Amino acid sequence: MKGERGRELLSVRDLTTVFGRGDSAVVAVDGISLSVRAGRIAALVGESGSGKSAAALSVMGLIDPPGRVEAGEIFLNGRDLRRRPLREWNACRGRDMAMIFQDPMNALNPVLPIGRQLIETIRRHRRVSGAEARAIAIAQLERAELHGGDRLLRKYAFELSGGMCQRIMIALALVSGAKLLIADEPTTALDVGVQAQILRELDRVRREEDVGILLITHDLGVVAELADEVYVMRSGRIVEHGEVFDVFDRPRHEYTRELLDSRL
Amino acid sequence: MKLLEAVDLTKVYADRASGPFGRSRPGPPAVDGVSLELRRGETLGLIGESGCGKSTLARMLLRLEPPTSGRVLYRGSDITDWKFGRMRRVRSRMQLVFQSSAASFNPSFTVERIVAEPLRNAGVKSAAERRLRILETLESVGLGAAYLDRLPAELSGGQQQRVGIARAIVLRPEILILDEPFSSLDFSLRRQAMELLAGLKEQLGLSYLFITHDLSIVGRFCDRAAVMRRGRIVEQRPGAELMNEASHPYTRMLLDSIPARHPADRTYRLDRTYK
Repeated sequence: MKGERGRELLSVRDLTTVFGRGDSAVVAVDGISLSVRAGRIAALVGESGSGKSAAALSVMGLIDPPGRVEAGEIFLNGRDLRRRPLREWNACRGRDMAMIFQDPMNALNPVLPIGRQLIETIRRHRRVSGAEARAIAIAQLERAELHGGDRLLRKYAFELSGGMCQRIMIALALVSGAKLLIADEPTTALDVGVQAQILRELDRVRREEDVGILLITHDLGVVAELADEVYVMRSGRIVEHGEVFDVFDRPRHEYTRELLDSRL
Repeated sequence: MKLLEAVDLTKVYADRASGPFGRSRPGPPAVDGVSLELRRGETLGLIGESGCGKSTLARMLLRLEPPTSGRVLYRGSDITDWKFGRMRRVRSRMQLVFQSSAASFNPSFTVERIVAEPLRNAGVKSAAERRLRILETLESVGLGAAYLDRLPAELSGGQQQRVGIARAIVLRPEILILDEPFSSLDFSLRRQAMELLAGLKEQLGLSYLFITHDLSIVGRFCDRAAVMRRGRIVEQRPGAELMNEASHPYTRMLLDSIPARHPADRTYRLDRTYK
């Protein structure tokens, strides 16, 4: 799947997401626009409560009522998901776009071996036999330098370290061929050494598999290390957008300057 | 002057028994012959990844955990075998600030009651005196009387951490053990919390044992730093030196894992590993 680097995978326009009703309604995402291209990493930066996770969940179609996406367009591979039947949005999840979370231990099912979870995901999106799915799963783990084959597939989440779980989550997210990965604070719960492993793995899938990544984080170090472009979010709005070098060298918005200055 | 000293401390936990009738055997030591001292007025950083034994070491220093072997000295006296009652007076001199203060609060207690607890334990019986000292302490962490009746859930993460610090300093201790005090905070709050702690140290004459896995703050915050790996201290240096002069390969690996400050600094650094 080479040669598609730079193609626009995700384009969000004027997205507005609201939680609650009537007087208690809160606008979590307030008319944001952003795009993610194949093989590129776009960072969505902001502090807790800025609406960055709500934006990600909106794209995934995972906002629970009474929260709702109120306005805007979400184009995935050129199709506006909000104008398509819900069934189609659901089908895209896992097949075209996938998401990983802050706490990999809790994202994996604790009572199923990880192999079952990988194979189940593969068979949901592809018409393959159990044996073929197993081979695909092992190949996918090998690519992420998770060796151990069958033995690894029989392990449970609690038998693995946090860093290992997160790498398996990345493998699981991409195993069905999803080209858009939304990573919500993927290294926040991890040690620096393990964080470096995960950053390296995200960098690898972007380079080798042309995956486009929307990286949600509050850590400007992670942004400096990995991102191609940056969106700075505050109180539901995007206050600054630019190439990573421009944003670090010449922040235009006061808030971005504050963020850069507040680093220890 | 040495306030707190670890002499050849070792902690071995029993390994998981094999099968329901298996006998449990001693596992690898969580802390393996560590000697360390905290001097008066200094900030000592204890650095390492999760599972390296840094929290176990801190718990032994506080006598919350009996060591398998080795001694703990407080102001030169050996407190390793002190009984509960005798320990109690020493305990008020050393307090802990946790990574997530919110998790250490009773969610149904008001801020006043949370900060009052150490005072009650230390036998301050007069309610008026307690209130006065609580107010004073809240003020010194930047929270006013308006917060007395709040519940933890009504506070922001930064305020919760301030209440956690208030609870730790209300008895006017000498030593604070800070266990990853910033890692639950957003980056803009981190700086505030760090400035607050630096100010309090000055104001109250505190000494800090600062436990962290984040090497990027060590240079600024710590007078000395000890790097721990697999229960042993592999390197000990002045904090300001550690960033540039660390010699142990494990310390170098940790330093190399710190994310870049600027995108221009990103190189092949992520490819380096330490086995």
